[in-house]
Amino acid sequence: MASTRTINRALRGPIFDYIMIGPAVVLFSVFIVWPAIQTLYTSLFAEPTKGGAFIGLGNYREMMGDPVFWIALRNNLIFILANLVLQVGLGTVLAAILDRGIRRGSTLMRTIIFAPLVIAPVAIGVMWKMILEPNFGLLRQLADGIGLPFPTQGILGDPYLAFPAIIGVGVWNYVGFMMTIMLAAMQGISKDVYEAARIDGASAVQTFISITLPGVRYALVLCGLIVIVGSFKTFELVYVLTAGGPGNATQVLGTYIVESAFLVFQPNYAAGMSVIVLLVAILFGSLQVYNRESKVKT
Amino acid sequence: MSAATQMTPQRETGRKKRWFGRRLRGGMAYGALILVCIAILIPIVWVVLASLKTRREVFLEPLGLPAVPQWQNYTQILETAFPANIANSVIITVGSVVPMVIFSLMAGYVLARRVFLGRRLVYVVIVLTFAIPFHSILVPLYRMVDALGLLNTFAGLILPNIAIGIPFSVMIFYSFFRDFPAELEEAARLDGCSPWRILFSVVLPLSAPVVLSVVILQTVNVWNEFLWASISTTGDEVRPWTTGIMQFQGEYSSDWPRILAVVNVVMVPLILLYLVSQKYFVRAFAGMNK
Repeated sequence: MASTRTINRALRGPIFDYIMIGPAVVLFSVFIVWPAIQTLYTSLFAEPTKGGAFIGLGNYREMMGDPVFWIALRNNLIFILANLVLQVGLGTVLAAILDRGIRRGSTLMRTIIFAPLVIAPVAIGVMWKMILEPNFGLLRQLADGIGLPFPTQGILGDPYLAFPAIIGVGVWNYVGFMMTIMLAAMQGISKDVYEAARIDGASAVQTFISITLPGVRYALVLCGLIVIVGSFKTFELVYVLTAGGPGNATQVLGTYIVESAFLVFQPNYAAGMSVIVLLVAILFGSLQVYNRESKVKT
Repeated sequence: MSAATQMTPQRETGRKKRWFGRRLRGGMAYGALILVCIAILIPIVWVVLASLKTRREVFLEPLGLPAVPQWQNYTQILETAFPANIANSVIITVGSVVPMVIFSLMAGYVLARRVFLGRRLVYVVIVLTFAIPFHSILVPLYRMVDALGLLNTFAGLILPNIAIGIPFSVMIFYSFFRDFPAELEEAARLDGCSPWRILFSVVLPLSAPVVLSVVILQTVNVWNEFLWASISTTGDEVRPWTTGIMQFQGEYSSDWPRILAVVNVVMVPLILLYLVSQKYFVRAFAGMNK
């Protein structure tokens, strides 16, 4: 009797909890956390093909002297800056117009602007590669149509234009995402505040700066953090559009890690770069949660 | 009184100016939005039209309608490996999303609602790992799956997909259950319900919207997953469409209408799914902002 009651109580208590949390914890420990720790560990060793001895920070020193690593890191940072302006900035302006600027058609336009987000990055890469193709691509034909010059090696073949083009495709893909987050935040602002501002004779721009922007500050921070994490997550788009080329002009850490590990067979060197991506994902990912929780508290 | 009569004409012009200003602003607002919408739509429309054209037409009349819709661009796909790839993707997606959502719901619920040893640790690890991309753990993951003999198997594709989706899904469930009214569960507990009964009879029936959001979000994620599939599959038996399309592109590189037909086959269903379940899509994607 007594033991059944203990079992019963355990079933209602800790056993319930551990059965519930068990599968998730086991799966993500084995397939995510353990490989992440292994990444950190193997980054301290020489390549298996070169004996695999412990070399401490040797791989990281090699990274410091590797120009392609710096190109990749620089491109990741350019991505962040450009996307803060183009995705978050444009997304915020579009959200403000949808929220306050127009009365009719806002659902339709929201639907259209969000749509690219549901298309697979690989499919987006394939279709944009054709749009940007130098001889018969849509953009070439549009440029010819209005008499604009077009680079002979194509936009993606030009070391100066390729990365801006990737940024452009990224904006096409993600601006609706940022717009949706900002719009949700703007709809949370009380209409009374806007009414009061209108009575005080504030202009649309003044209202935007002194009411809308402060009202959506947590959402703005969230978008910023998503852009930062997203930049270091970028892989498919660059891989399909340029595979890091021409030369290494459009390399980002995601593509360079995969190339180093699986084409050049330097897995431990790739692990060193992966550690940097891991640190960024962990730091800015948890900041995202922190930002959300401080918003919930206020 | 005389002051008031003097004010009137001024006020009139002021009102007119404001009316005009509003009209102008409204016009600019619509103009800007319509421009953005056109920029978003042109590539999609081009893909849909081009997939029904002859190769000649794609190159000569990029934005015109196809003279005769070339449906064989689509029927020819049936003779390639692509339908098999799509079937594989369905297996991988269903096989990943169903367990992922069940396990994440279970974990998110107890993290939000129950007190037990290790709860804080699990929560912290989930917060730290939810933004990790595949490429940052690729090599050890590959070695592990290889050692388990799971390369080129559905299990080898599915297990890491479940795992990488768990932290984010758990966080969405966690924040949903944290805002879930505790009174309902409390009442059930006072009636002598076990936590199992409470979960199945009280909590789950009211969780449908958040479950649907997570299912949609993770279905899109797994359906679109490319990198892990390209690393861990070499043969045709389990290849999903994302790596299949790259092969297809390599094989038929100059046959644009055919490649774009393939793009369409994977793009249009997702857009339609999005159109019919838009509310959940938007909620799922904006999930972090709740």
